[in-house]
Amino acid sequence: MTAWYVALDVLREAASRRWLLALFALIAALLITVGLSLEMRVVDGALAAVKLFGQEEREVTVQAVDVALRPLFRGVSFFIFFGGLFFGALVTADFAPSLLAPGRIEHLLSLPVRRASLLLGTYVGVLIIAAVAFLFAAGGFVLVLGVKTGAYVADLVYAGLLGALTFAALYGAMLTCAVFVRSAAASAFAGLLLFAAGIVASFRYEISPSFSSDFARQVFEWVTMFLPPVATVGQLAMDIAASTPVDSGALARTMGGMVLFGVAMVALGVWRFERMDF
Amino acid sequence: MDAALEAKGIEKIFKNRRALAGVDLVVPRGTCFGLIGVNGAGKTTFIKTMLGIVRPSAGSIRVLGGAPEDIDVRRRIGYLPERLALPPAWSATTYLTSIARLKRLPRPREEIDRLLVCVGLASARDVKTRAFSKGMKQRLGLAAALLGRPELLVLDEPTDGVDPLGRAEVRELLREEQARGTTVFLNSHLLSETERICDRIGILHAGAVLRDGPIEALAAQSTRWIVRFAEPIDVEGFTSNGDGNYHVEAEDPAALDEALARARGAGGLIVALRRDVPDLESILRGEVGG
Amino acid sequence: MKRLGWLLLAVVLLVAAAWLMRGGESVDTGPKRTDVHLPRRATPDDVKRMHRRRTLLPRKPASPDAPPIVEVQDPVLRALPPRGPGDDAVVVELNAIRHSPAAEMFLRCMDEDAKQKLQELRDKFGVDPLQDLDRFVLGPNETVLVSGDFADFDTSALDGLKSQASYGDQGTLLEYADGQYAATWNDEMVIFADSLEEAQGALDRLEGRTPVTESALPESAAYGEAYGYVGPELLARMLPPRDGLEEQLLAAAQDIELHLDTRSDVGAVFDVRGDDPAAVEELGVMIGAALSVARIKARTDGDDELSQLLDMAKVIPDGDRFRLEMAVPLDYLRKQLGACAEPPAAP
Repeated sequence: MTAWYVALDVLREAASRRWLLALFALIAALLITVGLSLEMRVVDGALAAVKLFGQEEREVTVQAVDVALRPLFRGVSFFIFFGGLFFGALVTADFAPSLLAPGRIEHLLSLPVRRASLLLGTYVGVLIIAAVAFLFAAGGFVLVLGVKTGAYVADLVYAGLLGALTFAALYGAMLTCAVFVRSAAASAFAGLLLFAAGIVASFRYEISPSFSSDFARQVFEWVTMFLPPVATVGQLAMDIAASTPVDSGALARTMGGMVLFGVAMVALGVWRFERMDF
Repeated sequence: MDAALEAKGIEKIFKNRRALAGVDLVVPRGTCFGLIGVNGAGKTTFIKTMLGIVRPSAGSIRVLGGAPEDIDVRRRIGYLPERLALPPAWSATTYLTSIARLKRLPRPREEIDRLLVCVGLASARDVKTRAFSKGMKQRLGLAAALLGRPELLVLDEPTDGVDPLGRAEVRELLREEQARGTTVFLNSHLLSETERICDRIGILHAGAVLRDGPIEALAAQSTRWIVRFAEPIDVEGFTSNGDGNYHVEAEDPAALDEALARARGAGGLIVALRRDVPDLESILRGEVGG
Repeated sequence: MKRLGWLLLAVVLLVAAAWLMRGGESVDTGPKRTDVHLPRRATPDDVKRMHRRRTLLPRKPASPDAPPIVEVQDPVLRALPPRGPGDDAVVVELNAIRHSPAAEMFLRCMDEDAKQKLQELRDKFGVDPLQDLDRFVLGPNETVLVSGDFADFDTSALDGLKSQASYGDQGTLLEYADGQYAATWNDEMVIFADSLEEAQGALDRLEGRTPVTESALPESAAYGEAYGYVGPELLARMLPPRDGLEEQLLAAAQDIELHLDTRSDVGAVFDVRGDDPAAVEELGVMIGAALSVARIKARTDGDDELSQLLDMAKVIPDGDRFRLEMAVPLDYLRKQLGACAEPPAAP
C-alpha cells in the first residue's frame, strides 16, 4: 500500500512538470492536426478517397476502411513503439535520481516506509506515466481515425500496450542504474543502451554467425539470451496494429519475460538500495 | 520505560574515514537534548544512524525501545534533515498531505491545517515551495516532522535560516512538544539557541561523545563569580573584566564569603553577584581545545 | 526480506525472464498474412510460355523492302475469331491449373462418381481430360476451342455426329445433326462453332488462308492460368449484390480483362476500362463499397474466414480504369474442402 502512495507521489510530481504536460499537449496537437487535415471519403465502410491539408482529393485503393488503414496503423505503431521507448527513456530518466537526491532521500528513509516500497512505488508510478503516454497516443489516433471513418480499430491500442510493457523492462534497468549511480544522465544512457542491445538481441541468431571465434559467438549468445528482444516485440506490435494474426502463446511468453526482466532489475536495485547509506 | 535513545559503541567507517568512533549515549524520554560539536565531528552521521539512514559499522542503537529499521518505530519519529529538498512544484499543503499519507495518518487535513498555523505558514498553504524562502522551507520541514504527533523529534539545524522572531516561535513550539512528553533531539550550530531550548547537552568530537548531561551539570564546575560594585575598587583577588564587573575565584561558599568580606572591608558596595556559568561555546571550546 | 533474498530473487527472475523470452522466439515475426501472388503483369515464365507457343510460321513480306508482317503465331490465339465489343474471349490454361496446388486439392477430394465420369470420357473419346488437354477457350460468337493432345481422339464417339470431311491442309470439319459444327486441326485442337462459316474460318486463319494481324486476345494479355475478356454480367455474378451495381457495371464498363493465378493461392485481377472516367470511378467505388458491406456482414455473422477472404479484395483506381483484385488463400480452400484436401501420408 505504501508503494502505491509513493507511486501516486510520482504521478503528482510528473503532473507538476511542465515539460511532461507539454509532451502530452504535443501528442494531442499532432492528433488534432491529423484530425483536421485529413479528410476521407468512406462509402459503406469502404475508403474511396483521401484529402490531405485541403489538397485535391486523391483516389486510393477502394477497400474496407479498416483494411485500407492497416499500413497506416503499422507505420504509426512503429513510431509509437520505438519512438515512445526512445523518448520515454529520456523523459523519465530523472524520476529515480530525484528520489535519491540529498535532502529528499534522507527524509523519505526516516518515514515509516520500507526501502523496497520506495523503489517499487517509483517503478510503478513511472510505468503508469509511460502506459498513459503510449495509450494516449495510440488511443488518440484510433479515436481520430474512428471519428473520420466510422471504423474504430482497437488493434493499435494493443500495440501501444506492448510498448508500455516493453518500457517496463527498460525502466527496470534505468531505475537500478540510478540506484548505483545517482545520475539522470546515466539512467537515460542505461535505458538507451538496453534499447539498442534489445534490438541486437532480437537478431542474435542472424548476427552470431558473423563471429569468427566460437568463444566470442558463445559469449554473444549467452549475453543476448538475457536481454529483452525489443525489435521482435516491436515487429509484433506492428503486426498487431495491422491486424495481422500473431502467435498469441509465444507473444504472451515474450511479454511475460519482458515484465519479469523489469522486475528482476528492480529486485537488483532493491538489493543494492537496502545496503546503501545516505 | 525505555530511554528515547540508547547508543552503545556506535562506529561508522566510510571507506577510509572514521566518522563515528564508538558513541555511547543515552537520552531519557521527555528531555530536550542538544548534540553539539565542531564541523566534521559526526553529528549528522550519528543522527542518520539513529534513523536507519546510515547503518553503523559496529555497535548497537535502540530508538524508542526498538531498532531504527523498525517501521513502527519510525512511525513515532519526526525528522527534519539538515538540508531538506522539497518538490518545487508542490504546495505546502500538497507536501504535508504526501508525508501524512506515507505516515498512514487518518484524516490528516485538520492536523495539516493546525500545523501550518503553528509554524506560521497558514497564509502560504497553497504557494508552491519553489517560491519559499529558506526560513519558510525550514518551517514547512518542521511541520512535516510534527505530523502524527511523534514521540521523538529529531531536528538537524531546525532554526537554520529562520529569522529571530521565527526562532522564538520555534523555541516555543518545541517547549510545547516537550511539555506534551515528546523527546526532542536536535543538532544546531547556533549554540545560543541550543542553550535556550535544551536541558541536556552532548558534546561530540572526532566521532565520540566527550561529555553529556544536563547543561547545569556541565557548567557546574565553574568556580568563578562575577561581582559588580557601585564604585570601582582595588581588592586582592578581584580582577576587573573591563566592563565594570569583577571576577573572583572561590571554590566554595565559605571562600566566596571571605572574599566578599574583604571587598566590603575595602569600601566596596556590592550591587550584583552571580556565578560565572560558561556558555556552550566556552564549554565546547574547553572540551575540544582551541 | 533479507537483503540477500533480493539478490537471489533478481537472479531467479532474470533466469525465468530469459527462459520465457527465448521461448517466445518461435514467434513468427514475419507477416502472417498470406502473400497471394496476383497476376498484375506477365512473369518471365509467362513470357517463356508465350514464346514456346509460337509454333506457326510467320508469313514472309511480299518484297524485301516491305515491312515485316507481324502475325499471331500462337495457333490457339490465331484460331479465335475477331472480338467485337462486349464479346467474351477467355483462355483457361487447363494443364497449368491441373497441376496447381488448388486443383490438386480438388482432385484429392473428387468423389467416386466424378472419377467414374472422367474414366468414361477417357474410354469414350480416347482423351484423358486430366492429362491430354492444354487450353480451353471460350471465344467470341460462342466459339469453344480446346487444345491439347488429340492424337487418340475418336471423333466418331461424339454424339449426334452427322458427317466429317477434310478441310485445308490439316483440318477436319465435323457436322452435327443439331446444326452445330466442329473442327479438328493437326491433332492438337478441337473447335466447336455455331456455324460452318465459323468452323471454316478458324481453320482458314490457322492455315494462313485468312490473314490475321491481331487476335481476339493479344499475346500481351496471355498471362496467368486463366485470362481474357469477360462481359460485365460475369463480373456482376461474382460480386456481392448491391442496388444499382449491375446497371452501373453494364453502363460504365466497356472492357473487363481477367487474369487468374493459381500457382500458389488463387488470385484474380479484373482490369475494368470504360469511356467515361467519372462513371468508371463511380463503378469502382460501388464495387469497393459492396465488398466492404459483404465483409462487414461476414464479420457480423461470425464468418471469420469469409471476412478474411474479403480483406484481400480491393479496387485500385487508375484514371479511366480500375483494377479489382481478389484472392482466395489455399488455407481457405483447404478448410472448405476438409481433410480430403490433405495429401496422403508418405508410406
